[in-house]
Amino acid sequence: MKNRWYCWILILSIFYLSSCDKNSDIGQFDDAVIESQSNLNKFKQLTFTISVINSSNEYLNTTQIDSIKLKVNGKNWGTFKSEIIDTTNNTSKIVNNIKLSNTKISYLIIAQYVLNTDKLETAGDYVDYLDNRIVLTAGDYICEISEIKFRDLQNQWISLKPQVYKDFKVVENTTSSYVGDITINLK
Amino acid sequence: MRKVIFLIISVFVLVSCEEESTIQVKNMLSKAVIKNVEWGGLPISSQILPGQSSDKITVFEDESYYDINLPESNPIKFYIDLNGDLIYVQTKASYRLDVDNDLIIVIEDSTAVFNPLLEKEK
Repeated sequence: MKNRWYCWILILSIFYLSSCDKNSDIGQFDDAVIESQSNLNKFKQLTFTISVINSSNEYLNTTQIDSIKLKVNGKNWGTFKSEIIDTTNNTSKIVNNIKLSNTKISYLIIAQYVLNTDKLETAGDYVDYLDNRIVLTAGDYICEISEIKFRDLQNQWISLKPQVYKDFKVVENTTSSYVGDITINLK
Repeated sequence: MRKVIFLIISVFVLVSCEEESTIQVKNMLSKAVIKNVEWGGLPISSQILPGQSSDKITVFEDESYYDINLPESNPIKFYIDLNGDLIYVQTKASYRLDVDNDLIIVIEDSTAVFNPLLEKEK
């Protein structure tokens, strides 16, 4: 009888000791930002080219276009620079310190959606951050170029506010789209 | 045999004499659900809807399982859930829970929080 009691105490002791493991998953947060399961492949990138043309059908000739402000669905998509290109020997003439070319020059812009997280201080800011993100599901959309900047030969900024619009299509389960060539008038 | 039973009952009585406090979290965010709410590793609620309060969670003076030894101050850690998108945040402030105390924490739009990942990018 006594032996049986000792046996039970031993078994219970083993159970008790094995239950002391504190490695629990409760309260462990490895992933800080988690996307909705319904839309994991979020559309993130627009690619397009810009040509800047004057009234005489001459194209702007510069190495890079700066501060291209892009909006999608009326919300800010971000501000971008074009890829740097080599336009040596393309200049046909110079007008008002701006190099112009008779041949078409296009500037490539790869516009990845930019989320501004600089001003997140309160829980309300984080809710707005989630709420204001642009989520593009499959369908047709319009993007707007509201401003571009480039430097003239005197290194002065020239700013244009073209407000040109271009439609593009988002195909299901894709994360990027080519918008095409956008022509901006140099006034 | 009687001595063993008496001993076990005595231990239970002694353990139950420990002082206890309560902690409760209220979600006053205008649009979002808060999820996986915890205080110092202690789970408070898996989900609190806007305007809803969690259950009152009893905290003993010595919660060795969660490394809690009252009085103690901890931030609240939780996910903000908006339309299925989740972001993890923790409060900048720590909330102190004393022995034999009832603590109610209100999470509202103006509550200062941060996400360690986004904080690193600034």
